[in-house]
Amino acid sequence: MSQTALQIVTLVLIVGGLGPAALVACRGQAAERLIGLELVGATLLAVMLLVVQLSGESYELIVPTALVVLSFAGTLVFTRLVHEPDDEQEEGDQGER
Amino acid sequence: MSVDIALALVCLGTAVIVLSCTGAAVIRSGTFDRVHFLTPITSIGVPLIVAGLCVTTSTALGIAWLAVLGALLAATGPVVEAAIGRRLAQLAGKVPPASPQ
Repeated sequence: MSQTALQIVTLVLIVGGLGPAALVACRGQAAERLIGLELVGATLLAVMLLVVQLSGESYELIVPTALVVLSFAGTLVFTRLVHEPDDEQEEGDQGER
Repeated sequence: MSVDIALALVCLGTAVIVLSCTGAAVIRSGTFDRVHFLTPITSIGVPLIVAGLCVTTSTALGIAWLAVLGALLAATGPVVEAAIGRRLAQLAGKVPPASPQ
């Protein structure tokens, strides 16, 4: 595969994929930003695969392997712990009493 | 020939990912609709890129490693999407909260 073509594809993925995904991760309530978190994780995995292919070092695949496992676990933890601001306010009021 | 096939697969996977991310960013119909843009990336986009890279990889270990990566993401992606969708439904009051709270 041509290095130039792969570089162009990687650039398109970073700008066209990571950009909107990061935008989704920055807007809205905490629960809505979870969607952006997962979008960024999955898109970043694809970018890493292409970068590893560009570098030509197969042992670097350990990085996207770790990302897959940790992003899965991390997103599930965030999903379990996310609260809406109203819930946090009520818990704070109960703590003050 | 195989190089062209690999590049076509990678480009196709990239297009799916770019379209899904852009769709998730611009959609206005609500959060529940935005959640559905996750699975095309994990189940179609990245596996297509993995398939394209497998075509150009010469070592069996490299191909196996890439295949495991693609399978891992394809298996975990829908699970995460379902978990996020369920959490959003709980916060919206459409689903009762989990019993050990």
